[in-house]
Amino acid sequence: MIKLPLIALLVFCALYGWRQRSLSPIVGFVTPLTCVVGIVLVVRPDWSSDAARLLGVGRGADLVLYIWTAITILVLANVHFRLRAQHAMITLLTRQITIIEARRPPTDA
Amino acid sequence: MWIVIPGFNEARIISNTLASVGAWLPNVIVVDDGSSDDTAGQAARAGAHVLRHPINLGQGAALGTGIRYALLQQAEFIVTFDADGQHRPEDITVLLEAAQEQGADVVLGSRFLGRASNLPTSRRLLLKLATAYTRLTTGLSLTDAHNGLRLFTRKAAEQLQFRQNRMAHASEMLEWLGSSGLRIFEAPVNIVYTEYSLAKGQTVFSSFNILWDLWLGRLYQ
Repeated sequence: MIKLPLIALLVFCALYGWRQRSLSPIVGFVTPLTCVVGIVLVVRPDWSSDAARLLGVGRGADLVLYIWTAITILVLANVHFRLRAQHAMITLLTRQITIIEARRPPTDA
Repeated sequence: MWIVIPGFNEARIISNTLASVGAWLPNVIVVDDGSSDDTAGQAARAGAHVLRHPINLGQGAALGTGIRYALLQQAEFIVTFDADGQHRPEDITVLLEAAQEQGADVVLGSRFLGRASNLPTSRRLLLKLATAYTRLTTGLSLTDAHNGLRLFTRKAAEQLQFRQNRMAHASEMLEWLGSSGLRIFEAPVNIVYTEYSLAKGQTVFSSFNILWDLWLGRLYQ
């Protein structure tokens, strides 16, 4: 029962990540890729157990949790980059306002 | 020739700094980076052009604003000069002569080709490490890094863009200069450290912040 909402959430994350590729190629490509791996592991949990054993993680559930953590970190990184982009725009805007409102020396006015 | 002085809460010293560069007035631009004190008022009374950021953005952003304004005033040479009184006004002439005699696009002041008075050993070590890092990452054979006394010709200033608003702008600028194809020279300058300027300067901790900003900036487009 929980598989469907999980898959929906992962698809949403994959689409969100893909839409960010113009802002940050790393987030734009790694997030969807990670989500696809997550979806595969939700659909076939036995594969996650096999993969977990192969990777030395222990349980398949732990592996899925780690993947989810990785996605969360990537989304957070993307939020950070978005904030930086906003800050760059604020800087440009502030610069324009500052120059328009420049105070010139009386002899130079 | 225009001089750009970025400042944040420098009301205590900006009048003295502007008096020292009095020969260059009124071609002096003070960029008050959102100070909560009377930096802007004092600079205006001293006869400088005053640009006031409504919010604090950082030294890199303040320099960007000042340089942009200087270009709009048709500046042919732009010198950046610290507000905290550690630079000597006569070194502006040294930079200008170096630019004109060497045909340089950018002249960077070097306290290690000149003299650094009252420089604590820990700060000297930090600056040497920063210089070594700059040599490694930019390919520029510099003797100093992060010296606020620099000269840009109009050609160089028009190409210059600061993406780093805060202190990482100095490293970012050197990285850009390393691949810009511009003619870059160093000139000896003398810096006199005071208790005030040392308190305003960089620490080991802020160096980590600079590196963090630079590395994050590389991930970002």
